[in-house]
Amino acid sequence: MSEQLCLVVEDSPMMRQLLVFALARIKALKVVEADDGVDALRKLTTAKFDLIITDINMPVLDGLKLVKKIRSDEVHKDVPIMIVTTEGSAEDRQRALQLGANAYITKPIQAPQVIAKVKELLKIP
Amino acid sequence: MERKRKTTGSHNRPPSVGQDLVARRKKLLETYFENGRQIAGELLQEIDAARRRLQELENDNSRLRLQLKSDTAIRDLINKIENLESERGALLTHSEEAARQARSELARAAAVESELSNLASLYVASSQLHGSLEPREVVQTMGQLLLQFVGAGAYAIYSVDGDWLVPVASEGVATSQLRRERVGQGPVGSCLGVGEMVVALDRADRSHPIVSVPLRIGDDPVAVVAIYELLEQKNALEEVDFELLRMLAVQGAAALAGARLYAAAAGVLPALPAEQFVGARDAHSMTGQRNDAE
Repeated sequence: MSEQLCLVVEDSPMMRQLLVFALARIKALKVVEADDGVDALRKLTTAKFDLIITDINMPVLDGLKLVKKIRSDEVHKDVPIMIVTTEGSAEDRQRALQLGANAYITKPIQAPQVIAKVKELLKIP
Repeated sequence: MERKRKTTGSHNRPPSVGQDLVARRKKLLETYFENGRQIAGELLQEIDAARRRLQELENDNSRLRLQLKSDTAIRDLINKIENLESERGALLTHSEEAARQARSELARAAAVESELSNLASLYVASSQLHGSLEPREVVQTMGQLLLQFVGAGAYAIYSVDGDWLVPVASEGVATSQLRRERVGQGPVGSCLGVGEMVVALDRADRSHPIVSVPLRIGDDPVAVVAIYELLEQKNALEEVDFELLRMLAVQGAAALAGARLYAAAAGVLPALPAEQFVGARDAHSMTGQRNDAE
């Protein structure tokens, strides 16, 4: 199986490290980290990603704006996006999905739940 | 010749005794042969009947033999069916046992994955707490731990300043609610007096925390973490959350105290003389001195 590339966008170093820890359990998945939306847009120009995991509440450029920008980007418009956030209301979820997110997971996260969703989005058996 | 003569002479004379005997003999013979014929006929009929009966019996025999063969085949088939049923039952039992084992293994794997996830959370939280010597960053990390790992929607962190607890960071708590408290007293500070985490999850009064965690090094109080509310999606605190809070009580205290001392020392770490902590032989070798007596 060829290696797939995942971009993790999270301003909290603690949560970022936990996500990287969880994703390391998936073989053939390489993770690139970005600490906010702007950093993510910069990294999106350097490679073609297979999955983007992003927080919503971030400084400079939040996760929802990032989703909008990704959906209008020619290279990454079809890439699966998973939101991982503390925002647990139905409205927030609805809004993120309407903007083009493919999955929405609320914090605190459970690694098995994240792994299962990532595998589903990347169609990894 | 003599007999012929006698016979010729009988036409005109009444039958003699001899003639009578001949006649009777003749009649007797005729009767005898007639009876013999009848008997032979009857015998032939009986033989025919016996043949037919024999044929019937042979037919019956063949039929019975066939039936017997068929019965044996059926018995064999029934035996085979019984054996197959028995094998099927054994296979079903085996299959059910295998399925039960698979379910058990899956549950164990899920439990192990969950435990790994919890350990990863503890490891990451602990390493991040000790990842900075800047008090503000340590407090921020504690806040991140409470919000992102425990799921605290409203919390405050109080630092010990002399005999007082002073609020230094908060999230989702009204500023008016944050006030100084004496160490060991008040809704927040009392947990330092108890020395243990105070949990009151069913508390309706939002001015009091639902969880207060005392951060201490030995008996020295360093800070208190107070949780007032959980995130909307977080229904209850689970065992892993209490593990994280217990870890925060110990590691958070050490990290915060270390960072405060470092800040107080203006970022200068005092050197530690090697001889103070290592054996004399090692100390000599480290300083390049040799004891000639050795």
